[in-house]
Amino acid sequence: MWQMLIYKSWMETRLKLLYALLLIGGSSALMFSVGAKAPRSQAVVTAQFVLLLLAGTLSGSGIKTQPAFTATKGLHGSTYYTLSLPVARLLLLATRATVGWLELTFGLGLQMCGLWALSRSGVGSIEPSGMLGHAAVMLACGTWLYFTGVFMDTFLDEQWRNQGTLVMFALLLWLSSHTPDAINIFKAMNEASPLLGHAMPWGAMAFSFGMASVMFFAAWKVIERREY
Amino acid sequence: MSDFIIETHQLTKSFKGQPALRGLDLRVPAGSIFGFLGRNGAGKTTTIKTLMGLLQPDGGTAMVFGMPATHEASSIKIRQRIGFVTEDKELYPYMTVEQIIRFTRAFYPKWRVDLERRYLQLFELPLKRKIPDLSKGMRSKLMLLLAISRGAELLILDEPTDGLDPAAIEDVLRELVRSAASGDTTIFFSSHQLHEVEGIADHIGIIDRGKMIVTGALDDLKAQYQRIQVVLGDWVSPPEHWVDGVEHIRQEGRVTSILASRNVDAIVQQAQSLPGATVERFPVTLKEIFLEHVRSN
Amino acid sequence: MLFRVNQSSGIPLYLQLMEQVKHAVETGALRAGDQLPTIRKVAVDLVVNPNTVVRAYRELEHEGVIEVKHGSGAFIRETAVGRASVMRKAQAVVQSAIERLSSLDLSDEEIRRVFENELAQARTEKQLGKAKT
Repeated sequence: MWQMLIYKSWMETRLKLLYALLLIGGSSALMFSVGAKAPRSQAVVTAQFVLLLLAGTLSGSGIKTQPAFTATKGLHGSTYYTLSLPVARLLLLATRATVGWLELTFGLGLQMCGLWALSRSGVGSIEPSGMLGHAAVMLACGTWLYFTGVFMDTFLDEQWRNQGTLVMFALLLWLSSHTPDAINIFKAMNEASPLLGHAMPWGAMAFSFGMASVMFFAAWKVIERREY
Repeated sequence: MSDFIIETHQLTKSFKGQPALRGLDLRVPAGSIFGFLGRNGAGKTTTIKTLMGLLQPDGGTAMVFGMPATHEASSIKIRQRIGFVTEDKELYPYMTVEQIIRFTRAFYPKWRVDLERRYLQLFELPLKRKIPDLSKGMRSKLMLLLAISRGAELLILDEPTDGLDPAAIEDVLRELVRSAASGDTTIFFSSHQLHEVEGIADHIGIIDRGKMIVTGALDDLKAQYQRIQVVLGDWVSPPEHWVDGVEHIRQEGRVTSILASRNVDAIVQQAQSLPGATVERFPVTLKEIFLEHVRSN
Repeated sequence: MLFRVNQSSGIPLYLQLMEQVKHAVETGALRAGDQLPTIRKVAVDLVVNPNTVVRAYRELEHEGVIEVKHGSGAFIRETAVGRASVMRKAQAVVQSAIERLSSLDLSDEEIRRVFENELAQARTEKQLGKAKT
């Protein structure tokens, strides 16, 4: 049964994953073309920007199964079919969120490989430990962003969800300038990254996972009560 | 458990202040084919969504198989035993016929492969075709296949014949009769095609403005309801007060046409007592019962 | 096929089915010992509710027209066929009545209505008589 839910989630998200992969390919190519001239910090900023886009893209759809505008009647079309199956809404949400998160991890991994290749080609040697550390930080911090997108999607319908998620991310970025460094995820991914020789930002990573759980819990509570 | 597979009591539900259900009492006997009738917007789909656990009512109770449909844990148990056809017949646009069947099968341990094969053949469904490329009629048939093959004890069908041509309607109704005849399946279906309901339903409920206004065994209703036609002599006027049970009176020249919902014999007797009266009684169709109540409500 | 139903006549379908079985017995289309089709077959062929057929068969059994043997089906009873001969006698009576009515220049439709009215009246009186006693 859950295999089928994963299968369904995969069918729903594969186009988004393709889009995300194109995004990563494009950004990596861009970095390659700038090549050796680019300072390492710029590569890090680009990577962070791509992560925001990845998290925003892959988190979409919640338990909805098709964009509202493709439904002939009502707002959610085939979502009714999903909800009529003998499955808890929590399981629907969890499967969908997990599949998207795995895709995020995959995308991030590819992106980090690109960054690694870039460093080989001359940005200046990067310690493998710094590279791995950076990847871990990106994944940890991306998880919060990702689940923010999952949460936004539970109550915003298709036409508003992208804008809503972007506004939410902007808000988080703005808030980060008022956040103590110890739990500031944007700093952790950027100037305080292990890639630039800093220590692992365990505090920010733990905080990010904590916030991701809060977001998932909130999403569950919305979905549990929501009427479709 | 009671003899009713579905039992709601004083169900209420509003959407943004607009009442959709206003104290609905619905009782569907086990083993029946129950026709759920009403105009568009009368509350049929809201009722069905509540039974499926998609909506939370504002008040009242909804029990299916003796379990509350309003709690998620019991609603999941209920849904394991229900075959469902949605009003809009929407299925995942990214799947093919074969994929949606494989997908759905995984959720129902009692899945009947024999029925799946039978309906694939009977309905001539193309396995490899994507759902958006199916006609409306094919999608309705596909949904029916997905509902019946679950081996469900209860089929909840929201306008199952909507969008089908007459030949396909006949096919679908015949299959519903077949699954009802083959065991303990209860069928609860909404429709506004009165003639098809009249054929296959043994119980009906008419909902109007969120309330059940007539419900019962169809044969009993037909026995209770009669049209009585009275022709009076030239100088005789019909009585001011009729016996209890007269639903509606229409006067055309000398002819008084009465729709009676009970006490038919007493009404006939009263009519016959009028000087020079000729009294005839006629059976009433479901359509007449429906229109009478929906118009006067 | 033995059965036909008219869904929009307003007459309960089980009554229509019962009438048709009785009529078939009267005309000799069904004879003693003949088997009726199964409930499932009738329901599926006519696209009517199985319970409707069940009810028709049950009432026919109650009236002694058919006999339902568990597991093997429903059969026309000997007595029902005896009843059919009574019906044939009745036919003769009605035939002569119709001949006389026709000679009064009544149309078929008028004759039918007179019959139905008188039947309805007789039914009402019978029920009144029951109520009084």
